[in-house]
Amino acid sequence: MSEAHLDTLADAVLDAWESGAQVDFATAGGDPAICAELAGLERAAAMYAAIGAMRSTQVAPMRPAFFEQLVAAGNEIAKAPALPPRNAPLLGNPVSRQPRWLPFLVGAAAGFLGAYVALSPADGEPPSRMREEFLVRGNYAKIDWKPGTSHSYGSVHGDVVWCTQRQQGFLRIDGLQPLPQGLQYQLWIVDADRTGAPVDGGLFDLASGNEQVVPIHAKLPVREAKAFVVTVEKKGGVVVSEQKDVVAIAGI
Amino acid sequence: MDTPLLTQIAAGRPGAVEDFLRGYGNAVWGLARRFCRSAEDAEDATQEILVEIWRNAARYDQNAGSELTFVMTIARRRLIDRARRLGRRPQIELLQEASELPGEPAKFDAAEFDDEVRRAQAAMLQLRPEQRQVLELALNEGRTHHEISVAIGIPLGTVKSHARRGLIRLRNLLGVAQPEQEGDLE
Repeated sequence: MSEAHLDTLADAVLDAWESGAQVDFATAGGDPAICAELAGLERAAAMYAAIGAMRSTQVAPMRPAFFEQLVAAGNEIAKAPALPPRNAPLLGNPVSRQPRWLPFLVGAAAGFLGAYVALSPADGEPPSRMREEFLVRGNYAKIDWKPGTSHSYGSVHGDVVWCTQRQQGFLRIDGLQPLPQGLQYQLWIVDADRTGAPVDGGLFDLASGNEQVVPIHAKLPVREAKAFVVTVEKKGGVVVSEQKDVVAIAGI
Repeated sequence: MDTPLLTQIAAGRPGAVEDFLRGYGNAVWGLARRFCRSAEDAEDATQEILVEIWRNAARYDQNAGSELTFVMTIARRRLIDRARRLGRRPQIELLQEASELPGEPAKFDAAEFDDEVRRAQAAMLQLRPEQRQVLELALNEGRTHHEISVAIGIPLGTVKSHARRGLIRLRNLLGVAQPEQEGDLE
């Protein structure tokens, strides 16, 4: 690898804030040499950050109540059936010289390029099956949809299932129509433990008016979900909805 | 070799999550607190990171690196992704002024951690002071190259050069790269 190319990788790892610091992670996914270089630089950066974080005297320790909250959340995940290691890397690199967790790392790195790779435990699995597995684990809330204030896109049926401890859930939606080009459905989660706008629960498209299952991708931890709301927004979504087209509401 | 805590979590061993938090929780929390504007934001970020790591615990391979490296790699990257998503930058007020940065990395008792951490600490001591200073600001405090240039009063190109050379040298010292690239390239 050329020194210039190595410098580009180092810049991407070091200065991820800057939009100019970019590297072609799609290429990295297909080239084991670049993957190995990138993994080495990421490892070095992580070790530096780890030592810095551990020696810091500026930061107050985490609250005991928060520690207990994390233990409860972790135990809820740990007691679920173990998810097997993935056989194939996320980016499809057939070469096995790279660390087995490199695809995870490359996926994480791709995030700052706007090409976020969802790292749910069952990537590639149909959402309907993921929902079934979710239901088997128990400890969730289930709420039926009610129609929203807008009826321009059909009349919703179905439900929402959500587990606060696992921070995971699914929408089962029937009766809403595919949207015209340039529009997308966006989920919002009203968290009673937060002030301000609802938490963005992710964007989705519907291919037909028939029943479909959509995984929830909450952009922030949800501590106390009180309601789930689906709106119609411009493609790519919005940070705060004006709620002009509310098509579904599920309140606890 | 002891069974990694992530492997134990994936296997559902009671108590593994608490052991994991006692081992690595403060490292994640410490980094999150430096990258987030408030303690509440840092708690959100810490929970987001840890839930993701625990959900993917079965994917950890101890032959590929230490648990701490695995955890901190994901934590650092997720904090950057999160800040970019929320349009928020690290809380600069919390951070030290560049002039107060220590000349040598502070020592800490790494006995409870693995060889990889101890080697990294030793490798950090072999970096040039100016490389350490820039890496400290870039990696531990999330500052951009431009901000570092302003903070310590050196040209942007020199900041980039110190950062690149320092990181590449650290990686080489950790034994990841080819021997012929091990020297300082400056």
